[in-house]
Amino acid sequence: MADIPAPAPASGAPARPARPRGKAYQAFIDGVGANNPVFMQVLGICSTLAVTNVVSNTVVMCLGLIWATAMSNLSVSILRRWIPARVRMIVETLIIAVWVILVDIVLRAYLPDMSRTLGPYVGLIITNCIVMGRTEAFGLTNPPGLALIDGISAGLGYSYVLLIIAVIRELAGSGSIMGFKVLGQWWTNWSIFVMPAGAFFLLATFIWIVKGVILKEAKK
Amino acid sequence: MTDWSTLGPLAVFFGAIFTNNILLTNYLGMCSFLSISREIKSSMGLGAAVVFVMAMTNALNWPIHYYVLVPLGLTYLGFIVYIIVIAASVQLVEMIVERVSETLYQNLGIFLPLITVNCAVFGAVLFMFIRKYTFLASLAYGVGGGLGWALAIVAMAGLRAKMSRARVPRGLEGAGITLIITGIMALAFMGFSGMIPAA
Amino acid sequence: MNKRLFIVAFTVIVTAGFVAPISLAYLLTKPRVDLNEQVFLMRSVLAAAGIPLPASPAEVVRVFGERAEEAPGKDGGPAYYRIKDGSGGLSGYVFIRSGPGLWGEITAAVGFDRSLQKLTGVDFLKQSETPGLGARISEAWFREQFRGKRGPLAPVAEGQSAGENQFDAITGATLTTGFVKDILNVTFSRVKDLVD
Repeated sequence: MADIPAPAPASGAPARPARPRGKAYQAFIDGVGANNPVFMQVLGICSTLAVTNVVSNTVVMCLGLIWATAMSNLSVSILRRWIPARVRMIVETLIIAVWVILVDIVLRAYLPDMSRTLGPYVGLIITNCIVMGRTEAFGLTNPPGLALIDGISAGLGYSYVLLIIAVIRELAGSGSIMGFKVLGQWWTNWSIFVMPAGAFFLLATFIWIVKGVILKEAKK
Repeated sequence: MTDWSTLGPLAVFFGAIFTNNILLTNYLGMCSFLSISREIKSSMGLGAAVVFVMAMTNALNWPIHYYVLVPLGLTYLGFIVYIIVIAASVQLVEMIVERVSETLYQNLGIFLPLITVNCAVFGAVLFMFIRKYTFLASLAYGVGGGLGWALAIVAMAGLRAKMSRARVPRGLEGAGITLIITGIMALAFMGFSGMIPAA
Repeated sequence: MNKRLFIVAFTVIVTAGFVAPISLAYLLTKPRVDLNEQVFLMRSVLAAAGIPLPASPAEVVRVFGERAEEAPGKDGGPAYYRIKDGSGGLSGYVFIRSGPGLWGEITAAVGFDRSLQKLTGVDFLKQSETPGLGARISEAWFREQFRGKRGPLAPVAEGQSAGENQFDAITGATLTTGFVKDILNVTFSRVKDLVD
């Protein structure tokens, strides 16, 4: 999807001179499109498959991940000159863990039912390859402003793929979206979409379609 | 309340491999699974390393949680503590692998330290607390969970080896076809559920 | 030596620097989290007793205070709840029962009328069954169907239950349905021993 423009320009770029604006835009498009963590880099699959059987869970998960990725990227970037090379991964993991714990605490306090449903998968954001991957690949070597944008865009890139899969899974598997029954009695639930196998197949199909589009573009 | 959490460690062990496979049922540990499963030897090596790490972290995290964090009311810091324990276990396993087999160490490369952030290992820790397993059951879950993950990755490596001469549509090469095979494996493993009542 | 020291010092400082704010967040939200837990339990007990649930947590606490009373278990058994009707007389009981499920423990609030033979309702406090399949036991239609049923219960194909001893299973969740049946039937058989 390299040549499909991103849905919104990076107007959230912090007050910086004109030159980085080009970089900011590039960083944003990258995360959502050409370097999409889910279907291009094939990262963060674990939670993709686990929570996408219900749309509302997916929404909360995505918000949590965008928060964790953006804030971790930002923190790592700010500290990047001081992080000793030997303990690099541990420090990154610690920082990520802290931001995720914040999400967990907020959920338990203000959305307890959601917290109960998501269960361990909130904590598992810590080991989500996307978050770690971005801090390693971008946060360590880029200024905070860009790192923040990169984090948000990787999170967004992850989110829209997940939401598409979730809508399909919940619609076909339970006939509802966000808990509202959309399809009537005539629809026999395709239970396979609610189960792990269906998630694997859907993601594979998604990747297939995307790669097909890209390969066609490359041929031209 | 029924004290069902004295579910036999043996039931938990077999459950973790078949009916409750941490990769095929809980979708954990996919990232390294997708990359390493190209080669059978490295898959076996990584699988063994994961079994070790999971067993060790479960064995260490259980007492830390119940005898340190809970009495001190510090369970909210749990995530940080568990990750540190996992990191330490991985360091240990890394040293062992390096001593035992230099080639395996080279083959696994970055994936050995990456076990630290393997969702399967962290997930196993979280699940053992959510399901309130006893110590023995947690240990059984660690070993079984690791074995289940190893089983999935070795099976996948074997399948991919057989498939190396098959004509896969270009768009599906790599991740795509692996995911489809994983889906079919997940379906197959679902057939095991009910084999162990109340596992 | 200096380098090692720096590495350790850095890690400790970063950890402390980050852990402090989360500790703060935790302490600030703790009362709320505890209240959530309590309200959750109260809501389940009221639902199992067949009492219509108020919308706000404060109302839930108030109604619970008026209608439910915790009683210590008989002979050291598990505690249970006496349910009072509008004028303070005894109208039923609610027990918290657990049993194994497919993935983890299932904990349910099971409500009985005064005769201890008919159910006033069932609510699930804790379950980790397969999302979209076994987890549907928390859905309203599944829970509501238990009002007025008598034990021992037998599951039938979804939509086909008739009579006080049958209930609709969840299609595709035979095992979880079986576990729920077990929890309820055990409760039916032991209920006389649980109350004074």
